[in-house]
Amino acid sequence: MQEGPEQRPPTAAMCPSCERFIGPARACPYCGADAPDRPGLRFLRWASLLLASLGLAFLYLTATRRAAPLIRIADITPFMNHAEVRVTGTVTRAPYVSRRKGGVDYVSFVVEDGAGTLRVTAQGALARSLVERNLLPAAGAEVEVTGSLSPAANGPARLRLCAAEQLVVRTRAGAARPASR
Amino acid sequence: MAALFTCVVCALVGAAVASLLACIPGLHIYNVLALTALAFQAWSGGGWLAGEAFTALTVAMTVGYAMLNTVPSVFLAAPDESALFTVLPGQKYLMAGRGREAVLITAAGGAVGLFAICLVLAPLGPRLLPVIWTVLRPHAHWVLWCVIAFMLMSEWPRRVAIGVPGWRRFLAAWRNLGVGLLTFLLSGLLGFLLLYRSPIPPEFAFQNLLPAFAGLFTLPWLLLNLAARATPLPQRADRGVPLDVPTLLHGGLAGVLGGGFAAFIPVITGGVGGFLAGHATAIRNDRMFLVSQGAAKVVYYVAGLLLFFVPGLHTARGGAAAMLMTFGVPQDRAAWFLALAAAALAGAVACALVSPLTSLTIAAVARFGCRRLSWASLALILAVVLTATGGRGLAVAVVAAGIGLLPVLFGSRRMNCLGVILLPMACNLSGFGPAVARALGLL
Repeated sequence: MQEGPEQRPPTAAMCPSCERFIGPARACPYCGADAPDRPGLRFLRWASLLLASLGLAFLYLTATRRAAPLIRIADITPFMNHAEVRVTGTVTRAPYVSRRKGGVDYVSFVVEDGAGTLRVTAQGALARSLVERNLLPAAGAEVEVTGSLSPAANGPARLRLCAAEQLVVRTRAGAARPASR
Repeated sequence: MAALFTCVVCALVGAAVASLLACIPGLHIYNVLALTALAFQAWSGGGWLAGEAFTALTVAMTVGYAMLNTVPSVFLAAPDESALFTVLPGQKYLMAGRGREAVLITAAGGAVGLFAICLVLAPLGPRLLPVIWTVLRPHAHWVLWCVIAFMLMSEWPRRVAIGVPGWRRFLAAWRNLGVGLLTFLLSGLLGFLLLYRSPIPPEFAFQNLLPAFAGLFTLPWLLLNLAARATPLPQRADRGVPLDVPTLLHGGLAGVLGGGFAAFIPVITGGVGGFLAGHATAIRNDRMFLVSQGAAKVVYYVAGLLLFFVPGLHTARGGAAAMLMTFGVPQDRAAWFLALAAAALAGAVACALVSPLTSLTIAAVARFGCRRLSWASLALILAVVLTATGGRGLAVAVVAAGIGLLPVLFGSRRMNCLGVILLPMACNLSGFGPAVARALGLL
């Protein structure tokens, strides 16, 4: 591309008839002429369809057949924001339950794995479901939790639950007695 | 005083480096920031990342990128045919040998955006934005659904089979519309996958969306450059830009509105914001469109990041703010003014660098050609994805490239690829994201 008088060499992306830019279109949108045969683009069309559908299917199979990685709380770094991880440990004290307008809207409890502590949280319908189904672990219970990680710069990291199945209580230390507000 | 000096140096150097890197096709500033953060983590153990100097560096790099990233998109893009009529008048300028003019007009729009940030957002933001956000927050989900509906419904049939009756005509008209919907759906599914069961290793999770964005937007562009065997077009050497004040103000206002909307409402991007503002403010000519796109881009990136520091607001919009949030950078009033200062200083550097870097890019394209530069960019992007997210991230990028190629090759809007964040986030904000994920077998 040299700076100089205006010249336009024809390219594969230009109409062979009117020499306007037509990109990957099969026919010129200006004069209707058929675009030159471009096997590279034709291959890319089919390759993109194949990659999009097959690739997504394989990614889906990989994702759904793989358990979230088990990590130690001490190994959490700020670079793990939004990571889907699994943690096992002991609930240090009774869960905290927040109520708003008469209903449960937030629950949380702290898990300790011997190397650090992590706050596990749930909001909205999930929080209500955990309380109504009496799934909240009591202090001292051994749990395995899976969720989305939010490392905090100041204080313990948070693990957000998205489904009740992501909380597995291995040994119950006693009846769940949430600390309500 | 030494700390302040370090911040100023970081702002100036960050703006210059980001302006230069913005001229490399496909290299997004969030990828560069991620690699910078990883490098500083290795160097200082993370302590430096929570400091004020890193804040200044991040803001300045964002400004430099937002001002200059028009350069590769004008000189090295291979647009689809619909782009010629809709989103990339810059290509028309390039084909007429006026690529430099397109870049300078867009940069003028960017400068309008920076002035809006310094003169409007700075004094009014802390007073108004927290109140506006309190009012708007409960409504964000339906606003998002409206934007999605408008985006999908405003597609139109590109290929009208004149003289062909019946189903063939109907199918020809629905070809690109159907591909647009398919693209939105597939990218939305990819978004759900990445959000609920990401294959990216936990240690790279903060860049969860990097491979998807590289695949959806960058790789298709480079692959098309390679497949179309694009040859460099001669460019005029004119230095002046005939831009009248009404055009600058009209386009700038539209861009500031669009970019501001995109920066403030979660998940909406600068392109979508500019697209909505263009419709809302009846932008007709190409010059005005370029100004509005420049302003929208700068306001979206820079104001979106600055919202993180606005006293009383502190919302994280965009990859840079999300990164700063995890590093625990200070968010007090001093940090707000520091971020504004860094934005203004970086804006000055970036404005000064627009013309020389445009000339440098023109010379590079003439020297090496579009194909060689596209090969080099492709190698660079793949290396960035591999370094920042590992082999699994590379696999995600390849799949995303397949989805991203669909609109390019079948004549639909690339904007549909934004389904990767729009669909899962709209579902999440509406409260039924986990239910959809469960129905998809992801929970």
